[in-house]
Amino acid sequence: MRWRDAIQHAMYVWRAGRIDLPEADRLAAGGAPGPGQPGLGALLAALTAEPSRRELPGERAAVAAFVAARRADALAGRVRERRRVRVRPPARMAAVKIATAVAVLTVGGAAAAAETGNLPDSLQRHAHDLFSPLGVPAPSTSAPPSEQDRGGPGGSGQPTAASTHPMPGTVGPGGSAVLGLCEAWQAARADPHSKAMTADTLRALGVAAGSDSAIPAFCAGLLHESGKPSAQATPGRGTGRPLPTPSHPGATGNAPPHPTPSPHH
Amino acid sequence: MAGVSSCDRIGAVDDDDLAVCLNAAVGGDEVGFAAVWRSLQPALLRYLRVLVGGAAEDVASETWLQVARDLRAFDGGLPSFRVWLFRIARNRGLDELRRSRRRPEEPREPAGLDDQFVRDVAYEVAERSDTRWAIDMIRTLPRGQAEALMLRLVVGLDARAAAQVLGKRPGAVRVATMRGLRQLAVRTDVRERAAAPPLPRPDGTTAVTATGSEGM
Repeated sequence: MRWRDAIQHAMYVWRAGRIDLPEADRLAAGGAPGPGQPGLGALLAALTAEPSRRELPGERAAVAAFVAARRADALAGRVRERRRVRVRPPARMAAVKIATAVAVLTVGGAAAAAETGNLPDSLQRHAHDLFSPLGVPAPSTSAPPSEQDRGGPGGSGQPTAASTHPMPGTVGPGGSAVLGLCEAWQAARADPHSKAMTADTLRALGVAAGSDSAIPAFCAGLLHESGKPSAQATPGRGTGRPLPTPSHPGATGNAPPHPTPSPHH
Repeated sequence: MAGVSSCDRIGAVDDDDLAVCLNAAVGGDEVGFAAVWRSLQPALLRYLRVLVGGAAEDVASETWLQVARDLRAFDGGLPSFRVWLFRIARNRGLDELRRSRRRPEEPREPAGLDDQFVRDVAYEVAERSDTRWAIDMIRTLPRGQAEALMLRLVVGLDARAAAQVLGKRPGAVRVATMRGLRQLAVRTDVRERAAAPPLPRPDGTTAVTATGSEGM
């Protein structure tokens, strides 16, 4: 009788600890190991244990990146609409990168004053990318288009020559983000009881200032200038109004088809 | 959308709620995106720790950057989102492995364990000690087995979905899972773990400060 064989086999596996394919599938689906495998249950339970709070830093940075990407989408849509050309993928990526760095640095600056704000290393690198070319805003147009950029519009048209300047506001947003860092730095300095800035944030500020020792002079100058409201340059040239909220991504002429999310899956 | 309000919750979100949050995120909603992040980041981090060790945090944030950028064009449900997310993470992780292999100042030791303890200070403090121990055990397995185990056990993918992430056939993933479990089951440190209470590593911290400062 097949079922008796099956049960006997299962009992054997369970007791003797010989893991076969069905048993492996059962364990992989969350089943508990039998007494033949002491310690394996503890191992699997530890592997799938509830996350500690420490495993969840970085949410703010990730969400900031998301918001920045949505804004960059909206921005790219508007640029496309105005110019009737497609922004080349490398340029769009550069714009997203910048917007991301700005958002992250702004959040990081605020976070330094409020709680532990940690710039992850990869974002740190983006920050470096952002600040190093200050005054040299043009990105390398010879960069090959990334294969990973599959999320772009399913464009059939050849990208036109880069007549659209991709990064009109490099200095502007960088400046305002740095201003946020300077304000946090100032606050941390003025109040010895406040939480110190994280090493990463300080490093970002050092990169912006040129060196760590140049931070005081750099921030003093920046904070002095910050009386002017015009420094808030959004990269959207010629549009003074705020960017649309991310809940309505720009559905403009050349924008990619908006996926229709169905409530069921 | 009535269901989206549940995306704001801190605690565990079930799959139905999460699907709603994912839809909201695809439509540009940051609360939805945050819920998706909270729910998948721990498993992502653990998977990446097995794959790239100390670089896991970096690779995870790179992964989410790409997701943030490309999510707008994502068209699918929660199961395919999981596969998509972990495919991105895996590709980035493998890139990182190639990069670190090329880095001359950081020779990779075949042992893996010490290497990891030295390199990742954050890891030392970030994880519960028993979870850390379990991840280190998985790291001693051949990579194919370790990945299959993590994707199925920790991420909760079935053999087919895990196979899509790994670019293998489901049968191969099932066999890799079985072999991995068998190897773990016979390890003496695993079997002894059943008797002994979990203890943090006695001198892991000194090893970190001694070698970590010159490595970075």
